[in-house]
Amino acid sequence: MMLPNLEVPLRHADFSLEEHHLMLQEAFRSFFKDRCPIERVREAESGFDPTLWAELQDLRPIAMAVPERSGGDGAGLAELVVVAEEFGRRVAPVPLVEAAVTARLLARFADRLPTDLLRTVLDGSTIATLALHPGLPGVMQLIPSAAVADVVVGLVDDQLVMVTNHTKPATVTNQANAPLGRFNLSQHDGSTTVLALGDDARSAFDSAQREWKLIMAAAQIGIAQTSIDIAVAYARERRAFGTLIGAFQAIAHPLVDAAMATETSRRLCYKAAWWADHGHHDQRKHIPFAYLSAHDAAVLATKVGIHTLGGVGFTVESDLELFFRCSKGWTLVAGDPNRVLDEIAAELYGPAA
Amino acid sequence: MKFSEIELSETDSLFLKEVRAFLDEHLTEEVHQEEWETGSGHNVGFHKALGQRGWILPTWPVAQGGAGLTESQAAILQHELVVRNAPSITKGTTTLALPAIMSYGDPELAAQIACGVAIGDICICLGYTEPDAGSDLATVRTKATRDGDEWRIDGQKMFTTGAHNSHYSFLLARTDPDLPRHKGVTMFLVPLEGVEIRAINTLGGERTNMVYFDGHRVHDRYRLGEVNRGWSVLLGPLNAEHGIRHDAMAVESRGGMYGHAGSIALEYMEQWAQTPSAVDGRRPIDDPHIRRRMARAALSVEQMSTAPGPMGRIVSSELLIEIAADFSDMLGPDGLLPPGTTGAPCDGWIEYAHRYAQGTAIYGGTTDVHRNIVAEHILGLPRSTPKV
Repeated sequence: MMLPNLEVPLRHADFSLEEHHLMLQEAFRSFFKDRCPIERVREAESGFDPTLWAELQDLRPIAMAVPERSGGDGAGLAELVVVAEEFGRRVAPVPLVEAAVTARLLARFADRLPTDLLRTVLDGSTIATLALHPGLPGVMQLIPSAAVADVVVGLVDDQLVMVTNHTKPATVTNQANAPLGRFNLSQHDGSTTVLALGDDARSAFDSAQREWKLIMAAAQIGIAQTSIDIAVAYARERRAFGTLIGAFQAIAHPLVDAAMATETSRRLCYKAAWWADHGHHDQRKHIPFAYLSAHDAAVLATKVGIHTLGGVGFTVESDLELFFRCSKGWTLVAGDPNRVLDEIAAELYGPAA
Repeated sequence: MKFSEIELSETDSLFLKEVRAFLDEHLTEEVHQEEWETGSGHNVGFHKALGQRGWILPTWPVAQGGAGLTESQAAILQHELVVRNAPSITKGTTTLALPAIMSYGDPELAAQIACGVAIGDICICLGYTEPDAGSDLATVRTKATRDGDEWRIDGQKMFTTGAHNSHYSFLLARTDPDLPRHKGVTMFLVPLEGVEIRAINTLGGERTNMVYFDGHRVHDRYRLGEVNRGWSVLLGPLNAEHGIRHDAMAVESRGGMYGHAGSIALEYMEQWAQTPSAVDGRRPIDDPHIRRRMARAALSVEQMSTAPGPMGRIVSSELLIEIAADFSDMLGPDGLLPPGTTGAPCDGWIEYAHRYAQGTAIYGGTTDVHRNIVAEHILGLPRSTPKV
């Protein structure tokens, strides 16, 4: 039998972090380690700690991945992915993912924005968030960080708009204890700035949705990694039946599965970020790949983590409980994660019939 | 980070052309056909042609039978061999064993073996597994008994893939039954002339072997390393096979080999899914049910070649098993038709892949053994298998 001759180009498969990535990783890792102990996550009212947010701005995470011509620091999604993993490792109660992605979106329309708006978004004093679904007339949308954001950006009636969030909606109680709020892009008491119309609006919104998925994927990797770290540390100390429980394959192998899923997804995030930064339209599939893979990894790692700790993992005192809540709680606002299979299929096989 | 297509230097582009021309000439339809029929994992003519170019040990100096290739040229060669589905199993076992032979063998013998390997005259199989010793290799019972300048080998080796292609077996034998199990074993490079080899055929169509040693005599010069210190001789090749290096997370993916099998299966299915069905004229990909499963399979194939080191080995074989089963389901009853059968969709490749995939989680160290490796070496969990 002759097998099909696949034209497989010889590609680099370099997943290593460069020097500046490692410096970023170290800077944000030590920031979150020092300033965001798990007690601070628990204490954050409605999932937002304004002091932590202000402290975080010393590292300029929002300006980082915005072009220099718009007042940013000119880094890209690869750098943002590295930072977001560190944020996810501590489930820090700050709207980092939304704000960083929305800042990149706003920077594309800097000339349409009120004076000084972009500058204050970049320095964190104005919190910008993204409505992850196109707005429908008369329908309130659950929007991440809408309870704390100063401006909400989204697509409504084929317009990309920025709306000031005057009367911040109350936090809607939710699994992740995130500052979710209900907001309607076309009915509100704020002022609206139209950023783009028609195709321009749709394509900019599509980019922002995709970037949110990529950066959220990296945050999910952080959630998964910490869950594994907590469970491994426990399995190395806890004894049962006269031995360390980590020596039982029934404990160890599920942790291995979680670690494999996490490492694979981390690499998919790097790859997706690299392709997105390098503007290759034919490589768009990598973002939904990374998003679904990371979501699955976080769901698996938090599940295995809780199970490894047994009853202790299931109590509200367990740190794992917080990570578990954010694994679904942070992603589900974007809709059923399995729906990204349709995005993958569209990239690979064209539009659905 | 870097994922772009590799821009070849002028020298490397010429080299790629040379490799492709070589494969067009030597990797013929007959070679593929023979491999398909025998599952031998080896083709003598093709292997010798590789050897003549110095491409069995491609980075070795020309004077030692290699081709003095740079790392990038060696990567090009390897890539082309994989994507063109060149038979490679026996070449793989041969080159896995060679470093240990060079380090531990009698220098004169090692030089002679290396030379023969390089030019394609000598092949080596791995004589590890026995009917009663697989994952737990240290329980091997094949005995080597000293008799003057010689050793007498008695026992059976099982699943010695490529033994029928090989001139030597890189053999693990017990030399002192009274010592603790890891300590009473010795490695030998056993010439296979006169040894009985019987075929074992597998579900995946590959041939492997039973090898019977019945008082087989081997001169002491074929011993590798000190007597009863065989475990340390074996460890290098074993770790290489398991994808373990010191920096286990930094190794390039070993998923590649099954990743390619996954890519072929996906390619076949993509063609199938985008072709209007003879029954109702509709393309399967327009059925939302098929569409999402194809997308999920595409993600799986990406994951197969992404996971690093021993993780890659586990992820790639297990996902191959999963996608092959799911692809079979999508094809429906026709998915049961093997290659060569009239009406077999995807040339029967999916039916074949569904069988073949099962073996990938077993040979070369099972996925279970690899999970132990990840647990202990990467996660730092305590050892799970008892130390006997």
